[in-house]
Formats: sequence, C-alpha cells, structure tokens
Amino acid sequence: MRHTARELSGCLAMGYVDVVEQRWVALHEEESVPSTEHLRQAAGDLFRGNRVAPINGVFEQAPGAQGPAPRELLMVFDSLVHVLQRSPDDPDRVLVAVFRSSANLGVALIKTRAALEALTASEA
Amino acid sequence: MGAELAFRPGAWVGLVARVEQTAGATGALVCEVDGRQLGSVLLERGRVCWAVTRSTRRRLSDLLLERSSDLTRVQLEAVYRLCRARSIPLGEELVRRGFVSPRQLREALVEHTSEALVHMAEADRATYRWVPHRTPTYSPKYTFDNLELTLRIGRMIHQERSDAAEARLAALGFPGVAFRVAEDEGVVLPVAVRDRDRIPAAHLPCEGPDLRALRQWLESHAGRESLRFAVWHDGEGRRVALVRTEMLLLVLWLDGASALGLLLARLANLPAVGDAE
Repeated sequence: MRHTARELSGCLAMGYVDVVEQRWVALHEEESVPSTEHLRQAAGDLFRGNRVAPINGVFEQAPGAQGPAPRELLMVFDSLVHVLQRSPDDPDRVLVAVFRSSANLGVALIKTRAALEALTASEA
Repeated sequence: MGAELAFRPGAWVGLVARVEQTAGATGALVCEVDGRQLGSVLLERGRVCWAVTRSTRRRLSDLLLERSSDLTRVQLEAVYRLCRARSIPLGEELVRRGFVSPRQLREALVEHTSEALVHMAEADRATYRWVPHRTPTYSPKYTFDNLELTLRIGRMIHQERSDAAEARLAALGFPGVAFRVAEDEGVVLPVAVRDRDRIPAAHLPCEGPDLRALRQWLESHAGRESLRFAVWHDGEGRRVALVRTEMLLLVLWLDGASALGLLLARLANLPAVGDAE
C-alpha cells in the first residue's frame, strides 16, 4: 500500500477499512489528511448503511440490476478526491484513497483498483 | 408567475407521497382545508388524470379552445352536454370526433391539472381524503406520473431555473434529472429531465431532499469540502452520478465502459460559473 501510494501522483493517503469493526486494517498517509478519520467512519455508512438509500434505490430500479450495494465510489471535492472501493472477495473491506484534486482521476481509479486486487491477493 | 405564488414544495412532495400510497388505485384524493373542500385529484390506476380546485383560473374548455382551431365554443358545448348525459370524459370524446388532437388534449389536461395542484400546494394545512372509485374511466395515455407533473410544476414556478437545468443536462449528455436546490428556501424540486425513458427511478420527486442530505453528508465527512460530483459504480458497468452546480443537483445515469471518461471530459468543459437565472 505504501508503495502504491507513493507511486501514485497526488495520492495523500491510502487505507484499508474493516467497515464492520470500523477499524483500519492498514493505513498509509503521505501527508496528514484531516478527513481520513471521517472517511474511516463514513466508509461503513457509504457501503452498508442507509445514507445512500436514494442512490441504492436508483441501482435497484435499473434494468437488470441485481440489487443495491455499489462497488466503487468516486467523490470529487474542491481540493480533494476520495476513492472508495469495496473488496469483491470480502464486502466488509473497503479500500480508501485520498488524492489532491489535481490528480488524474482515471489513473487514480485504475491504480486503486490494482491496489485492491493486490491487497485481496495478499490476504488470500 | 413564480414570484406571485407561495408554492410550498414540501406540501407538493407530501401530496406526491400520498399519491404513491394509493398503490395503483383508482379514485379521488379530496383536498380539504379546515374541513372545507378546496379541490380534488383524480387518480386512474395510481396515475393522476385530473385535478381541480375552486380557484383554478382557466377551465379545460378554455385551454382546448386556445389550442385547437378546429373547435368552436358551440361545438364544444354540444359535445359537453352529450358527455355529461352519458358520463364519458369530454376531452377524449373531442379527440374521437377530431376536434382536438391527442397531443392538444394531453397538453391542456396537464396544464389544467398542474395549475390546480399548485393551488393545493399553496394551501396551508391541506389534508387529503381518499375516495375509491369502482372502475377506471380515463385512457392511460391521458394520465400523468408524479415526475412528469413535478417537472411541469417546477417549470411553472421556476421557469428560468428549468431552462438553465435543461442546458446543463444537455451539455452533459446523459439521461438525468436536475433538482433545484436552494439552501435558504429549503427547496428541492426536480426542474428538468433528459431522456426520461432511460431513467429507471420512479420515486424521484420525493427523493430530492434525501439527495441533498446525502450531498451534505458527503461534504461533512470530507471535512466540509464542497462536493463537485460523486459517482457510484455497481461493478457491472452501471454508474450513477451526483453532480453539484451552484443551485442545481443533477442525478445522471451512466451506462457503458466509456461513460465515466465522457462525464469527466464534459464536466471539465462545463462553464465554472453559477447557474445563471
């Protein structure tokens, strides 16, 4: 994770959250990011709680949808970008990455997906 | 027109929720204020087909005469008497006889109904009493779902905002709905839609406040950062985006592998100014 975070231009922090236990399984911060702790707490609500009920409702109603539970969430704020990706093998684990808003979003998504794959492979 | 109306979006959303509670039934929601009847909303299999209040400015007949050059007041009154005697819908009989086109009738019906619904949403302490009807009377093509009516009403109240929202949706080029979000007024109302047929969500008129709350919550967990947009992905190629502009909240449906890249490119080219009124 440290390697991936350092390799990624604009990546400020990357962590792996257990959303049931609300704890970091791993966390690496290139710079102190004030929102990291909030993100840890939010990850559970974003993937398991009822905060995103309207969005889940949209997914549920989409043709061919299997149900709610989005796998990936990209949030772009004025000065930060958050990427959250749920592990395909363990839906209770979420990879969280924080970038500067100047980061290339496409690269950020691809690299965090790759980091998640590497993490889940190392856990297997 | 908008500035004169004391339209209360919360009251309208409450009425929409009341319509949804009827679960596809046919009947009337009688609107009462302090025990006095203000008007009524007729539902045909859960869809609104007609609404009227005591203060509705224009009658359906006036709206039809405005729209159709093939219809005279004498003809209209003759058909009206016939319809009344046989208990059949006037508008549909006029269409059957070729005096108005189906499109003209639908436009007149939705305009009349929207105006009446706005009056109901202006009323303080309005309550709704359900009166079931035994059999459907109106053709489904002359009935309206909640989103269509909400958009119509949104345009009546905030026409310039609706125009700006349509321009934003067109620039982004995805199926979607634009909500007007005015923090100070607490207004969260759909005001524009693009590619309605490709939008799966049926309950959007009621979901604006939830979407605004979601946006505010995202900002709170990000340390009060201002959200520009968020994209959810189900892992199967379906994405939903929440895009914030100054006074609008856009919900977009993105399909296909290249949709996210397109959205990012189009957002980058979207003028960074507020939504001009």
